[in-house]
Amino acid sequence: MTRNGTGGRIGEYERLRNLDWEPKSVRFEDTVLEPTKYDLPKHGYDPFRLTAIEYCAMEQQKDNDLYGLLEGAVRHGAATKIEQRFGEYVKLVAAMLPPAEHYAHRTFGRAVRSIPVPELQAGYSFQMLDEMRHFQMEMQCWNRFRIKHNYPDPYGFDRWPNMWARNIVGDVFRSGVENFITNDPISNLVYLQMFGETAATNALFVALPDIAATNGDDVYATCGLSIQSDEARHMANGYATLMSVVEASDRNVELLQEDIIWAAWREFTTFSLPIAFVYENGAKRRGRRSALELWEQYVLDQFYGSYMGKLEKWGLKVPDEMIADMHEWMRWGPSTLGVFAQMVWPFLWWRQEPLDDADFEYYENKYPGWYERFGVIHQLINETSGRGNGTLVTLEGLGLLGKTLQLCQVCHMPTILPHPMIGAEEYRRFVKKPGLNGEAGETKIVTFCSKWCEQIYDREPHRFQTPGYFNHYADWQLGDLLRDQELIRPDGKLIGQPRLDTLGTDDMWTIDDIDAFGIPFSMSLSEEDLSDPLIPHAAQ
Amino acid sequence: MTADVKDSNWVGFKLIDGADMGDIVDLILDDNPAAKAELMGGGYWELDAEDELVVDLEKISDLLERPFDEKDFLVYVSSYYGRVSVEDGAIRLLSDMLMVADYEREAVR
Repeated sequence: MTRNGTGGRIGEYERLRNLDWEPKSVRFEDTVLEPTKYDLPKHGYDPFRLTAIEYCAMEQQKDNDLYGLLEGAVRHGAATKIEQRFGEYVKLVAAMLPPAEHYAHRTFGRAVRSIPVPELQAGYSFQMLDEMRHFQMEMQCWNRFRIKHNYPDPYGFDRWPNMWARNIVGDVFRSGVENFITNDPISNLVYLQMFGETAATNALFVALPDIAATNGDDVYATCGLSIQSDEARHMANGYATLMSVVEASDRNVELLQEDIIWAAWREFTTFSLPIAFVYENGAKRRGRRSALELWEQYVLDQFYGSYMGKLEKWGLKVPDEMIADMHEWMRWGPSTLGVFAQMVWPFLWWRQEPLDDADFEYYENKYPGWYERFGVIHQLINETSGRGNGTLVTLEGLGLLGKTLQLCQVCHMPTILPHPMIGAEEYRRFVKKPGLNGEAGETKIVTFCSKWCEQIYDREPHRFQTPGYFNHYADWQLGDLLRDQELIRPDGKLIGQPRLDTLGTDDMWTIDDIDAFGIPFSMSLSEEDLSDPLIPHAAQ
Repeated sequence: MTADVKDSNWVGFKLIDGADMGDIVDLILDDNPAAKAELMGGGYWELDAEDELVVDLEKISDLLERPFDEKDFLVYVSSYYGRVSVEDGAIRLLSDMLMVADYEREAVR
């Protein structure tokens, strides 16, 4: 097997590869936790040629660097100096990412026991430890640092277990991250390593730190860059997995193509689009590049152009039409999700802020035509954000959108992308599908953001049978919904807020304000709605 | 390739900035004359080149007057794109797709 020399790093790695053995005390098949649908080679390769002793030294140095910075940040009161618009959005990131790291940790424990290729198992083992390191770093730097060290409004950094579990935006992320652990072991890695880590994490852990630093949050920035230094190795693990299965059989290539189409869209709705939403909506002081420009550079050029494009010689390809849809959604989607977040602010656990003239100028400069599409909407959001103004933006928004606003049964995104009133009707699909749990012939209405999610549903409908958020809370009073979601602060009154400038004043909204509206929350679609021309959708 | 995606042979690192990183980037640019580098606001360098980018670790060690090997460099590699090969005394990024047999050769190129 070995053709390399015996000295130096390469020689040492090859010597370790040759220590592989076949156990005689147990049958080989009994050492495998669960089989994969893919054919596996006997050996693979780690491009980093990493050994455990090097891994430990490297990670120790990274932790020394990070926690040294954290100590200094505590001493100079860094948590008090964070621009609050960004600081509040960290409450969202800090609720979503640590559980995702935990899911990834479990994935790689499973991968080690399910993919018996020694070189890959070594990389998966290190990655399993990385993911737990990331969980600990994020809890320290994003949650505990702010709770313990005088961030102006620490409520929300302790809300991660519940918000991850069933919140209207938490559902988006959790449903995507469950794909880390609920598929074939190799399919999981196509999704997590090849698309999640290689395509998306540059935006999450490199571009977002850029915005964090610009908005006074150096702890977030350094934590992100340190995490991403592990992701660099995870990208190599993903590449090692890919080349191992591509070489093993032609049948693998067919399986890979199916997984690539699924993983590309699920990555986009779980990571790329939500990250761009946080990047644009969390920034008070703006970066030089827009989320769209970063996505074009990091994902279109550096992932699809210099990586996925080179897989076409094996017949592996993301459909052109899907990439074109991603591009269109990335142009308007972050702003649409920003409007959605402002509209459903009582359902969320962080404080938001209406956009100002500087924001309008930035958006129009980076996204020409933006003001025409979003300007009036943001004026309405601003006018309805003050407590006691007589209305609530949630009700105003529902009045405008009606039942066109549904949640996708696959990705849980609102069905108003790429823009609530321009183009969304060409993408969303409201259709009847066979019910899987009832009697033969029974159908149910299922809502999708796009045909891509409908295709994912049709591939494995049994995965998506749980009632969605709107069906679960059909006809509930809005205040009761907030109580059920545990969105009321410990004082028993205060809730999420649509403004930053009311902190500590009597102008903060309370649950009593919401109860006073007394309107049931009713968004479920009926059969008549499917053909209603006022509820336009592509399936019509 | 599509209207949205152009075939690319570019490769690159994103390197965490620090006390020595500016000097290290200068050295890498000397060794890779066609490469380009930019320090970004978040405290990291974008270092890109077409086809290939080679980091000579022995030269960095001489520059810093202390041992500096692969694992020391990887502490500061926040991300990369292209195909990576960590070798004796060097780290190399290539635009070519490398397979297991390529890595098993004496040198990947």
